[in-house]
Amino acid sequence: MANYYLFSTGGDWDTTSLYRNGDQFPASKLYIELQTPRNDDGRPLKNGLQQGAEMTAYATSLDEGQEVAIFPGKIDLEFPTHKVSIENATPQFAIEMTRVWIDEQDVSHEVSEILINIDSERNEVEAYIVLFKPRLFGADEVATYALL
Amino acid sequence: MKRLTTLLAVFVVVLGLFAPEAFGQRGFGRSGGFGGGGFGRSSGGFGRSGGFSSPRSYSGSSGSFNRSRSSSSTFGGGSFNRSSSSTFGRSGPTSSSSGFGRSGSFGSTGRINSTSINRPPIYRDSVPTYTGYGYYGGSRVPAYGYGFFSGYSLGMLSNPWLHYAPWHPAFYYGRPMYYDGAYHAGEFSFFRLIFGIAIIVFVVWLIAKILRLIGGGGIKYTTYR
Repeated sequence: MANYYLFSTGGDWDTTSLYRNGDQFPASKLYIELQTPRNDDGRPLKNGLQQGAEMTAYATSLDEGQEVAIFPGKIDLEFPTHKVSIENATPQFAIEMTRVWIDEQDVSHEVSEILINIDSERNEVEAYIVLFKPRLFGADEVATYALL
Repeated sequence: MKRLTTLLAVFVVVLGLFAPEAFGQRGFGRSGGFGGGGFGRSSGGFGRSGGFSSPRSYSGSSGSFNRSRSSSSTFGGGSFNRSSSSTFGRSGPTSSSSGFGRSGSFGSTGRINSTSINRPPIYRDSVPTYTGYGYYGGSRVPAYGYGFFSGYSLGMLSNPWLHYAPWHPAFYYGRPMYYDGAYHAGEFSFFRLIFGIAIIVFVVWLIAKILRLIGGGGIKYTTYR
């Protein structure tokens, strides 16, 4: 059964919450990392997730300290300035089937890197998404969306 | 009364016999007046006038002048004799001799026959939708186009380089073909369509590459919050 997570934060710990399938999920850490391949120069490749990727995604429960897989499933991440959604419902977790939205816009073919690290124990927060936007005319763009 | 009627009938018959010839000479313009009888008797006048050298050739090429010479014997009466001698002595006939010079144009006013074009086998069942002109061997010949955009094919008659310009519709048509006295538009070529698209894509890609190089390595970094 696919999970559905809802992470929301207003920019501080008091307004930060995580829900799993409609129920609050006490967690000490939420970690999502995605990295698509790069060429020899370290430059992202075109077509985003279509080139494959490496991904780590889990939430550490506050009670048992156990890492719980987020996928297969979907997670909505509501930040003060952006809303990000990541979904992969394939049981085998085929990375090419992962879909990423930023503010309701599908960026699956542009995403290059994702890092969501919300660690309450270490009081560390880090969240950004990097998109690679190839241009036919002019320079390609590597756009970093700072979520926090 | 009966005699008067007979004389009137004879007059009408005679008038009917000669009148058409007289009208016919008038139809040729002033040259007809010379055919009326001045040839034999006033040959000296013709000889003096340089402009009358043309009547010799004209009379030789025209059967009607030969007939008019015979008719001159019929009209050998005083009126023609007098008029020819007096008129030719003055400037009048000389000016009329220029009419012979113009009479040369009669040769060009021959019969014009309309002809339908003989189409190449590939256009045997087609109807031309575009007509123009081209030049073949220095002569102006008609040019025909068949169907959509075929006129661009004929445009290659005046601008042959269009056959090598993928951005022009003429590139996608064959060259005009010369067939039986006329140019006919070339056919649309799917091969050239594919080839043209490939060339355009390559040119766009090349321009993009150049612009990327000019843009400083082809990558820029931005941050959004």
